[in-house]
Amino acid sequence: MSNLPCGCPGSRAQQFEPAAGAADEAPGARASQLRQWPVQLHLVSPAAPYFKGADVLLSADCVAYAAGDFHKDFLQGKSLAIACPKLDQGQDIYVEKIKGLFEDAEINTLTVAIMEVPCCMGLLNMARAALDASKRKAPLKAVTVSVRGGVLAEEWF
Amino acid sequence: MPDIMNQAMSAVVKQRPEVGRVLREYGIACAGCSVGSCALKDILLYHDVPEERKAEMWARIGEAAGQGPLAPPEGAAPPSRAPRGASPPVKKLVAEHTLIKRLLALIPHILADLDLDTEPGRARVLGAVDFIRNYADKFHHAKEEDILFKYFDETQDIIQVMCEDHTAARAHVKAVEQGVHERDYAAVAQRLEAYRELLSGHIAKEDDVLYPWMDRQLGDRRIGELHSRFQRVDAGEFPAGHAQKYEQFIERLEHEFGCGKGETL
Repeated sequence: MSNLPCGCPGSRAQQFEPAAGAADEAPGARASQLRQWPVQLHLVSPAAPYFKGADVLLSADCVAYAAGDFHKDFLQGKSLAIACPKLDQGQDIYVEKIKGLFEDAEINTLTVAIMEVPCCMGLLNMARAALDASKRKAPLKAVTVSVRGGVLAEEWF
Repeated sequence: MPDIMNQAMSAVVKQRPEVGRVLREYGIACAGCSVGSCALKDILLYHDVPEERKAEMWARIGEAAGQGPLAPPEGAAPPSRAPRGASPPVKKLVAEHTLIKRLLALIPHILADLDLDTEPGRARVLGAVDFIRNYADKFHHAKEEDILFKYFDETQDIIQVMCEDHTAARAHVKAVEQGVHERDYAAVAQRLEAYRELLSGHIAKEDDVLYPWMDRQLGDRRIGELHSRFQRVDAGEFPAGHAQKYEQFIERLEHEFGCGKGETL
């Protein structure tokens, strides 16, 4: 794929070698940490029992493919919702749903995992807007993941 | 492990002042601690020294202690993950410190204009006593002692040191109040100044060492719990406007003394 004329870093083609040690992974399957279905933000309801009082991970779609150990490092112990702030339609509904997580599900914390590309910041902005609009407050953490899968930054709001 | 590693900081620094100077170069001010009971080997547990500087720091400490380069104790601290700001409950405690530091900055002004012979003069000092007891202690220290510290092993030196500071602070405040009633200028001045000095160091230890160390270990689940519990305590155990009342008290004193609004030490 060639670069888009706009130079969007989120769409720019990159190719890289697997990280050091990636080929030496021990054999065997790692157990899934997922404990609910569905997971897509349009499909989940804040009223679902798995959100009540939970630590929730709101992950940009690409994070699960970039992070080598998504289940262990991000999903373990958390309920999940996934979304893409660049391509998904109906994002005003997303803000209302996230607000519902704070107010109705009374979640314990919200972790927003996003990619380093600028367009992904939209997901964090939605979560922060939802928290600002919510009568009930809970800790919100942003985790930024590089395209190579490393954690670049964590920040609480 | 050489014995010096298990000695209290105060003893280490007394014998080897150079160790304190090395630690300060790595942002560790424990040599100036008023209690100094933490073991030298624990300092890596409590301070987030960048991973790439740890080996160098321990080698230099060993040389300063006259024991040759030391290797970092195994498992002393988990490697730091990516940089991370303070969590919301810790930010709340730090914000409360800011108001307490504004009172500490006012203490020299209160003492320079100390008047225990008139009702308004005594009321001013007793107002500071009320602030310390009902904001700094009941509203703030209680969140630490009754909630935050309970998530950790409270027998650890670093927590013991903080609780000893709280106890010493309460004794100073009691003596200040007694001094006001007895019109004892010297006692009020000496104890209020001692409180200022104690709390200044105490707050620095918490903001720079204790809270970041705790934040690194708490995990999301407990951070969320702490946030909720702090909110419940503030809303449920104190009358509406409790914190605002004490903010207004500080603002009034700053105005009286012509201090810049929000001035801290």
